[in-house]
Amino acid sequence: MKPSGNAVAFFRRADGALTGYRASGHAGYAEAGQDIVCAAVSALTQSTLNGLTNVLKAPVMFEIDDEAAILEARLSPEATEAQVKQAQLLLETLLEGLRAIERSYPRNVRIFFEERR
Amino acid sequence: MFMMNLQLFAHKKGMGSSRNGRRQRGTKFHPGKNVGIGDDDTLYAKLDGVVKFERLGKTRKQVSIYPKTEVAAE
Repeated sequence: MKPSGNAVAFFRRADGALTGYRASGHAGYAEAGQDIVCAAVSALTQSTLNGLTNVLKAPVMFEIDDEAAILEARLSPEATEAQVKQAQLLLETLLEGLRAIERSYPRNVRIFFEERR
Repeated sequence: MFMMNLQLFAHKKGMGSSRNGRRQRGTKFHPGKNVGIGDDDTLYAKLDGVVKFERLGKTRKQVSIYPKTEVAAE
């Protein structure tokens, strides 16, 4: 199976603060149901979204599309600076986790950054 | 809390376009007066009127629709 790789873009403000992320594509490690890399990326990206909305209770705009294999989550412009600061713990933890997976499965996960508000 | 799909980024074999994929969007505006909420968090107006964004408790926000007549009388 041609590994297409799961791309994860992190959105970063000019001051370096992370404001969200977008995961898309297929990990391509194995077929659905056996793809452990996909399971890891799925769990981390969805758990972080839960953390932002249900634990931190920050205003978040998000979209999950199973068919298109897209998950995007971004702090809403209304998020306070305190919420943005707290969100860094969740977003940096997600980044660390995905970096570890990328190191082990470089053909299946690619992380990059986009400068955004 | 939404349903977690642990194979969200898996290559689904033979998946045609007709498959009804799960699509969720979320926003932190809650349905206020005369506003309903769809299955995927889509808010919709129950009547024609003026849209108002309001506080809901300390940290949350809601969207309400007020009939024009009501707004004009204010």
